Amino acid sequence: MPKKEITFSLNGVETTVAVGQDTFLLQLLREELGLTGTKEGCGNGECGACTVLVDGLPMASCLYPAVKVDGHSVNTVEGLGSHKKLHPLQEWFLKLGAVQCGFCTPGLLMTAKALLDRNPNPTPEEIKLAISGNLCRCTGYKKVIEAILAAAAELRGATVSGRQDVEGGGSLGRSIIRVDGAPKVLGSARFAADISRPGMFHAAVVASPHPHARIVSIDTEPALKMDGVVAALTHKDIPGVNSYGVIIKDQRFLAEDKARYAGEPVAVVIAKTGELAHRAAEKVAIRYETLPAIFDPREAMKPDAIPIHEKGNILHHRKIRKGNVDEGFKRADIIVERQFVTQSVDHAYLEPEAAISYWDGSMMVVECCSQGPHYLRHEIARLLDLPINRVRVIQATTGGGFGGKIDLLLQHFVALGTYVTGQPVKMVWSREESLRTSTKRHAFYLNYKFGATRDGRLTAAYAEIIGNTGAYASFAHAVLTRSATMALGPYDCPNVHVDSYAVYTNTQIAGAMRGFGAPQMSPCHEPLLDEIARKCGLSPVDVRRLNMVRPGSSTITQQILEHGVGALETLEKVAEHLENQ
Amino acid sequence: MRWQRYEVMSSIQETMSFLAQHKGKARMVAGGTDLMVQIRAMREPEEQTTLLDISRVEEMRSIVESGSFLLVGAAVTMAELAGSPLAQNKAKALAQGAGWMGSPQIRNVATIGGNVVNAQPAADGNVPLTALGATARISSPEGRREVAIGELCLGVGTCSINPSRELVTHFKIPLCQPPLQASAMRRMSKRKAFTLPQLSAAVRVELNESAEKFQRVKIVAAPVSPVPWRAMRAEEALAGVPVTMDAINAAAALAREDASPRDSLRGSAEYRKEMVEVLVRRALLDALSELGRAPRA
Amino acid sequence: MRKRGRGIACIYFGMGNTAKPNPSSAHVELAEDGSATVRCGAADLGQGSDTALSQIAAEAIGISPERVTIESADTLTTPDAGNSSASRQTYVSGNAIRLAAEQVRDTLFNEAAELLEVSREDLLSRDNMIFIKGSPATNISIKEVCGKLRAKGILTSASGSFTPPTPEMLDPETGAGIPYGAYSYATQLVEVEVDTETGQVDVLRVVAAHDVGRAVNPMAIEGQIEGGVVMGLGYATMEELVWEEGQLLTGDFGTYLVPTALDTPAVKSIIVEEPEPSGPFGAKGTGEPPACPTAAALINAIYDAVGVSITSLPVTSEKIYMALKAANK
Repeated sequence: MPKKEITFSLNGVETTVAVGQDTFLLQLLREELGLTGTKEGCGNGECGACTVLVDGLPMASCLYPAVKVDGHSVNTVEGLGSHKKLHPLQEWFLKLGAVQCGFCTPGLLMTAKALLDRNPNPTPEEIKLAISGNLCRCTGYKKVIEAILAAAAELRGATVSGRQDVEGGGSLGRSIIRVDGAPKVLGSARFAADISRPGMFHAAVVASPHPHARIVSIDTEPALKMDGVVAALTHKDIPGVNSYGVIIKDQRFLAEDKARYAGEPVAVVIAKTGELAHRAAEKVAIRYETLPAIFDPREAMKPDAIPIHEKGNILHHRKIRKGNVDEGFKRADIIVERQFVTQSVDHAYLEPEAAISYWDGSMMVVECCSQGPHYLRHEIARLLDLPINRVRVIQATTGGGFGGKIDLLLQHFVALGTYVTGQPVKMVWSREESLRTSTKRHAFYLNYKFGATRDGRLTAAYAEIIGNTGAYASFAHAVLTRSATMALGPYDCPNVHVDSYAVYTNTQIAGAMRGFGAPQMSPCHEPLLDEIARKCGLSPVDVRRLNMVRPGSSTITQQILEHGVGALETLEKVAEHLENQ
Repeated sequence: MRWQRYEVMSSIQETMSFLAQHKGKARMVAGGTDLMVQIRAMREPEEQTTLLDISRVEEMRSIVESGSFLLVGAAVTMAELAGSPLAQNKAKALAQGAGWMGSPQIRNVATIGGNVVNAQPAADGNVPLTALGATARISSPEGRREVAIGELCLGVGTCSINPSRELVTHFKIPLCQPPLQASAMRRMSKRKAFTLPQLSAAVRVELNESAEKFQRVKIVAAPVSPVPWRAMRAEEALAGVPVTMDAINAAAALAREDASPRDSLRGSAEYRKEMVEVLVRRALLDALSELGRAPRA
Repeated sequence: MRKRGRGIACIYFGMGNTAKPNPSSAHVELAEDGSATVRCGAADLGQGSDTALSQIAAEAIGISPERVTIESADTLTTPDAGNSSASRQTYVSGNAIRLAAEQVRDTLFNEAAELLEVSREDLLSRDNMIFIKGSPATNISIKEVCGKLRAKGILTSASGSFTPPTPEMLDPETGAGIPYGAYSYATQLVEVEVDTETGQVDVLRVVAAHDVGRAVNPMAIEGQIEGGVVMGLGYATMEELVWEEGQLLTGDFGTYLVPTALDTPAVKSIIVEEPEPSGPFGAKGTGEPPACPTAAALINAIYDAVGVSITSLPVTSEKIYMALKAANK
C-alpha cells in the first residue's frame, strides 16, 4: 500500500510528509514528526489526552486519519507558545496550579485555546462543557477552570494577578510555581512513551486468558517464525530467581507452572514494531489446564476452598484487641451495626504504563513511569542476577500514580528483552492492558458494630474487614494492617476488636491505592456515628466532637497522641460551613 | 494494516463511482469515531478495504429548511447540529440528542449519518430522529430512495442499507414548530458528560387546532429494544385526548408497562423500565413547556 | 421531588509506612555562587514533591526557592528515598533534606560567624542572606560566604536521612504499637440534591478541611485536596471494575467511568495547620487523606436528604431509587 504525500499547515508552518494511509494523526505527530507533546491516554477517543486542533476545532487525533489533514491546518501544543514566550494559557496553568502530572495538560491547553478563540469571555459552566471531553485525574479540574478564566481575562486586556504576586519572602507557605511545570505546558516533558532510542525493539505481553489454570506447555515457535520477531521469552529465559513482590515475593516475573488471574503475563514477545509484537504475541501457543477459580474472598476463606497459593488463601490476618470489647458492648446503651461492600476500582491515571530499557556500557538502564525507582532497581537486579549497582532505574516524567506505579508492572519485560537481545526495548501499554493488568484498590467486605452510651460516647467497636487481594500479595499486608489501624476512624474508644484479613482470589491483583483502606471503611464508620447521633439526639458534629481524638487520646493501637492533633480543628472549620448555606 | 486505502470524497457522484469501482471492498466513513474504534479492536482487520471519507462532501453538509421539512445532510457533525438555530427551533429533540452525544472532540467529527448507520439501540441521533418521524434519503447506483428511520435500523449495528453500495445522504425531518408542534428529549446517564445513556426518551407532540388536545404524539425510549422503541400504546392513548396531567401520567405508565429493557452494565431491566415512565413524562412536559402549555390537572 | 441533604465525615491517616522503617535520604550541595542542588530519590508523580522538597531545602539553608535545583528519582544519581506513597514524601524526605540542608547551613554559619564576629547562635538566614538576629542590617550574602569557604577549600554539601520516629512493630495479638510518627486529620462536608423520582444525586458542594501540619506550598495542597475529593466522588458514585468469571467487562474509558469536569461540584479547601513537631518545619503532607472521607460524607448526605442509607459502593441512582422504593418513601 503506497504512502500518500500530504501537505498541511502544522503550527503555522507548511509541512509536506509522506504518510501511511492507515496512520492516525496522533502517530504521525508523535512517531514520524517527533512531536511527542500530544499524548495517547486511551487510543479510543475516550480521554481527550490526544486533542489537537484541526482547522481550529478540537479533535481526538488518535481516531483521525492523518491523510485527512492534507490541505488543512493542524495545531498542537508545541505551537502554542515557546519557553521564551508562553501563551497566556500556559502561563496561567502554571501560575494557578492547573498542572500536576502534566499528561492531560497538552490536550487541555489545545481545547482551551479553541474555546477562547471562539468565545473570549466564557463562563465557568461554558468552560466545564468545553473541557468535558478532557479527563484529568490529578487536579479535580477546579484550578484548570480558574486558569482558563484568568488567561481569558488577560487576553481580553485585563490585568490579572496571580498567587505568586502577593507573596513575601522566605520559602514556606508560598505557592510558588511547580519547578517541573514549564516543560509540561510546553509539551516537552518526556514521559516514558515519548522516549525512543535508535535500534529499539518493542515488546508485547502474552497473558493468560484463564483466571486459574495450570500451564502445561508454552510453544513460542509460531511467534518466532514471524517476520520482524526478534525473541519470544518465557520464564526459562530469566537469569535470576523468578519471583518478586513489594512485601513478599509471591509473584513471578513470568508465570511458570500456574496462572492465577486472567491477564497474568506468561511470555513476552520482542519485535521490530509494537504492532508486530502484539500480533506475534497472539501466535504464542500455550496449553492450559483450567482449574476451578474463586472470585469471592469469603469463599476463598473457607477451609475447603481450593488453595490459590500453597500456603492457603488467607494471606494475612491482623488483629486489634484493645480493652475488652464484650464488656464494652455490655456497657453500651446503644448498639449500631452496619455491613458494607466496596467495589474494585482502578487508579486510571491518564498515562498508561510505559518503559524503555537499554544497555549503557555494562549498566542496564530502565527509564519508566514510577513512584519509586529504587524498589524497581532491586527487582530488576534480581531478575537479571546483576549486582544492584549495575542497574539504573530513572523515573521518567510520570503521568499520575496514586499507588498504581509502585509495583513492578512492565519494567521487567523490557529489561529482560534488552538483556537477551542487547538492544533497547520499549513497551507502552494500551488503556485496555492497563485496566486489565495493573493493580487495583482492594474491594472490602465490612462488618461493623459500635456501642455507645446514651450520651453518645463510644464504649466498644468491632470490625471485621475482608480484603480481596486478588491473585498475588502486592501490598496486601500493608493495606490490611493499615486498615486495621484506621478501622475505627479518628475516634477515642476504650474497647476495640478488629480482624482484618487479606485474602487471595483469582482476580486482578489489589495493591496500593490512594487511601489504602480508609476510603473503603469510612463509608462504614461514619454512617454509624451519624446513627448514634440520631439515637442520642445529638447532631453529627456534636457526636464527633465528643468522640474525636485529642492530645492525650489513646488510639486503636494504644498509641498516645501528643502533638499535631488537628482533628477537632478540621471538624470546627467544616461545622462553620454547616451554619452558612 | 488496518485498511488499504483512504480516499477523501468531494461529491456524492464521486462516492458512487468509487463504490462501483471497488465492488464491495469499499466502505464509507465520516467522523470515524465508531468505525475507527471498531477497526482498532478487530484482531484481523479487513486489510483490503478502501475507506471512502464522505465527511467533506459539501452536498451533505448543510441544514436547510425546505417546505415543511428540515433537510439535514448526513455529513453534518453532531456539534453543528447541536449548535444550529434551525435544529434548536424546529427539531429540538435532535439538537438536544446531538449535544449529549460523546464529548466536544467527538462531536466535532461525528456525523448524524454515521450515528444513524452505526445503529446502536440508544444512538443519540436515532432516538430523536425516530420520534420526529424522519426519513433517510439514500443514494445508490440504482438511484435514490427514502426510508423511514424506523425501518432503516434493523438491529444492533445493523442497518438496512448496504454500506458498499448505498450512501445515506440526507435526513428529511418534518418541521416541529410552535404554536402546535414541539419535540423534546430526556437522557439519563451515569455521569454528566461523555457517556452512553442508561435511558433516553424523545417525544414529538402535536396539539389540535385549539391547542386543547393532543393530536398526534410520538414517543420513543431507548435502549429498550435492539432499535429505538416506539411506545405505541402510550401514543394511541394520547391521540385526541385533552392535555391533562392524568393523560400524561397514564401514557407514561403505559410506556413503562410495554417497555422491556434488558439487564446491562448501565442499569438493571427493572430500574430502566421504571425510568421509562419518568423520562417519558418529563419529555412530554418539556415539549408542552416549549409551547407555553401547562397541562390541566 | 428534589430533596437536599448534607453529610460530614472524618478520617485520620498515618504518614509513612505502617509500623516499619521507611527511610529517606538526600544530598544537598551548595555551589560557590550560593545556588543549591538537591539530590533525592523521591519521585514526583505530579503531586508536587520536587517543588515542596525544594522549598524545604531553601528554607533550611536560607536561600530563595528559585535558587534550588532538584534532581530526583534516578537510582544512579539520587540516594534512596523510598516510594512516593503512604503520603510520606513531604514528611520523610522533607526531613532528610532538611537535615542535610541544615548541615550545609551550619557550615555557612561557622564561616559567617567568624566574618561577622558573632557566635553561630546569633545568626539566621533568609532570602539568600545571613543576618544577625535582632540587627538585620548586619548581614552577608550566602554567595559571599560560599566564595570565602571555597577559597579555604571547604565544600558546602552534606547528606541527610530520616525514618519516622521509631515506629514499633504492632503486637501480633493486640495490634498495640506505634505505627506512625505523625497523623493527618480531615473532615469533609458534602451537600447533595436527590431526585427522588430517579434516585439521581447532584453533588452541590464539598467543603474539605485538612490538617497538614504546615503548608509548604498552599496551592499544591489545594490541588491535592481538590483532586482527591473528585477522585473520592468518582469512587463514591461512578467507578466500578466489573468482572464476570474473572474476565474484565469494563475494559476501557467508555465503560470504566471517571469524573469529567461537568461532574464536579464546587470544592472549598481549608488548610488547617496543627504543627507536627517531628515533621520538617511542622509539615506532614497530605497525598491520600483527601480521597478518604468523601464517599462517607456523600452517603451521610443522602441519608439526610431522603432517609435511606446505601450499603455498598458505588452509590448509583439505581441503588437509591430501589432503596426509596423499598422504604416506600
